[in-house]
Amino acid sequence: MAPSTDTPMADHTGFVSLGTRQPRERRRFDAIVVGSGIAGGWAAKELCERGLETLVLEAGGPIAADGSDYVEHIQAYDMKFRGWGDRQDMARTQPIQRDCYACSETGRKFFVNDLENPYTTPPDARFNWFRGRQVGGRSITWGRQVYRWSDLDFEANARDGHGTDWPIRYADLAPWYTHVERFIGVTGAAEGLAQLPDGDFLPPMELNAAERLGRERLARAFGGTRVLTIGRAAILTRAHRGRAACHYCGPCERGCVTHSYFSSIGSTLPAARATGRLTLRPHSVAAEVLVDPATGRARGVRVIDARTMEEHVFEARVVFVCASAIESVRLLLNSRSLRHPDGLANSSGTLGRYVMDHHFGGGASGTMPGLLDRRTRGARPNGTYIARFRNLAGGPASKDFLRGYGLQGGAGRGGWGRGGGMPGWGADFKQRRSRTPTTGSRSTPRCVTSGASPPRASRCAGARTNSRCTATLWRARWRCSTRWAVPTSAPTARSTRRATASTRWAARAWRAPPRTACSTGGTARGTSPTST
Amino acid sequence: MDRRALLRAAAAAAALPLLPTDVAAAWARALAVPPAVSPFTPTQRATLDALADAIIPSTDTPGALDVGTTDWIAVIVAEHDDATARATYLAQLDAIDAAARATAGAPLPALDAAARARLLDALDRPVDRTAPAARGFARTKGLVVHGYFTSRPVQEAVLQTVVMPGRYDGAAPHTPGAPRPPARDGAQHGHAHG
Repeated sequence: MAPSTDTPMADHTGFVSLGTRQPRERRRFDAIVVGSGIAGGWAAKELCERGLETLVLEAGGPIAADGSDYVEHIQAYDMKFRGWGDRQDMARTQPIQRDCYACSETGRKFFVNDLENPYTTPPDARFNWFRGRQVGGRSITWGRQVYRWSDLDFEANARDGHGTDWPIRYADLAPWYTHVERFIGVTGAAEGLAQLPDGDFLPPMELNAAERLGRERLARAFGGTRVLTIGRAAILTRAHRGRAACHYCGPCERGCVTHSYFSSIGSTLPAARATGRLTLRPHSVAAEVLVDPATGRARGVRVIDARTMEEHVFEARVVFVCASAIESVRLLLNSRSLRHPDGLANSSGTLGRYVMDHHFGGGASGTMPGLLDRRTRGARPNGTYIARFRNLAGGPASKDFLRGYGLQGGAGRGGWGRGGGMPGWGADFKQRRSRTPTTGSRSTPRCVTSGASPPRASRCAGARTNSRCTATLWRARWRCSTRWAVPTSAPTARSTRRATASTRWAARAWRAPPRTACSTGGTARGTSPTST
Repeated sequence: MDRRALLRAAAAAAALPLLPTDVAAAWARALAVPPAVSPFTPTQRATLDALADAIIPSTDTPGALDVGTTDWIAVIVAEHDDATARATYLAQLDAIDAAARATAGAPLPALDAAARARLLDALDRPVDRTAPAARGFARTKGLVVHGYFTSRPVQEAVLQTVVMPGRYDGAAPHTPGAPRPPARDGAQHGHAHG
């Protein structure tokens, strides 16, 4: 354990930091972690449990430990705008954040104020940067979907020549997947698929009646090669390590008083704190990773206190940068020194380039007749997943793209919300909106496509299994959540536009080196507020 | 209520010798009350009330007016709509009033049941969907449906929404014609994308 120091730091880089006199605050640690979200919480837990005195720096403020900051149980009738949000205020203060579904009337508190956190992009490359600055970061609002990669993913670069070969394979990572899953708790169903390795799962959540039907029909129609399974999500289906099972209230993205989904403040940070070696410092904006000019190695972090605007320097032998994909890069680029004139970890000049985001948007939807005598009870905070089936060995190949994609989605039964657009008024209208229909008639099959690239993604599962019925009953939809579907030819302006138009998260570069895109947060897949 | 008015209300609440829980309750009340200044003229409000009462009348369960739906619509029009949307909607309510006077010789609230039904049918299935009165009726219906079904009495007594069900059943038995499941369910938000 490193001794604490009461003396102001001498700054070897020559940066003047004379204002850092806080005689009682500890200045020296074994390790510093920048960020308290998914990655930072994990780093803190592992470091503390291995005996290192660890300082976690968080740019945002604290969250109440008793869950009183969470808003998931607030019902629409207790909201001024009944869930529609304070549109005028959000247009003014959160014009970017509000594009994320989780930035809702109550959940917006976990998103930054865009006026206070400005950034710029090139005019032709808008990027919606969803940010949560608080202890816990975006682990409070993340999408919770966690899928293991397979060697199909790890070997893809080497096989098709796009990108740099990964230095690891599935076998290297598998024990660590297990290590993480056993701690955070992941619900899922084992399917034995090579392209989607099973994890260390808690009991699966239930497929609903329509999804079960979809799974059966998909399997039948494609000879068992297309598998619809329940989503694999970091949500507890039974009590796990002191956290309670999910109570199926629904809107996880607004917090969870029972910590039933994985967040750093619900699991990793408490574990770190339990060691007695954690120091958590909110309101601490990391400005620069300081480097020892003699060794070229990180020696600490320069911090601006968000409340006082005072500068502080904290020292450690180890610095973990876990501030999110973009924020971490910014911090490294801002960490310029004589040894690292272009920023830390940027000798190649690659840092901050080739950002590639999730591709998202293509899909299919439809309505499913029948099942009038079935409904769901409880709000399952999880959907379904159709495992990759394109370009597998022996599977259907695509002429248009390499690699493949998975599809997230699910089915649900129509609620009263469709009433506003339905014809009628009066007692009969009210009755039809309040209660489910007793009949439904079948009409033409329908498949909704959005023209996303890869184009064939939009013609997958749904078209053969769903058909539209005039009385909307069960509705099913799946959307593409590919990682890297690489076009077989160079992207054209048209295909890029198409991809951009169909994704809320514009695909930046089709041929990006994947390691640039894969940030610290792990295996989440999908367009959750967490971009990892 | 705008932000300034809300702050005034909060300041007033804080100035009173209230217990902390009472302050919280006062805050909730301040959020729940209709806007300080109604966006509607008395005629527009009367037209809106008559429309809401017609679209979701009181039957064996509460009607739209019973659960304060139009008070909430006033909040939406005053504070959720921008100036353009507000002006458009108010003009649409005026157009409905004008249509009532032109076709039935009286404002909507004064019409008998048969005349009211003729007018509302015409607005609900209009020849020209882009006509201001038709658009006004369509928007009103959307607002009434949302305001009614998100109200506490309807959520609790009619839809029987359970906030913390404690379990998920994906194929629960259901009698066709029974109350609808909650609007927010399964595919609508259950996966990562919302």
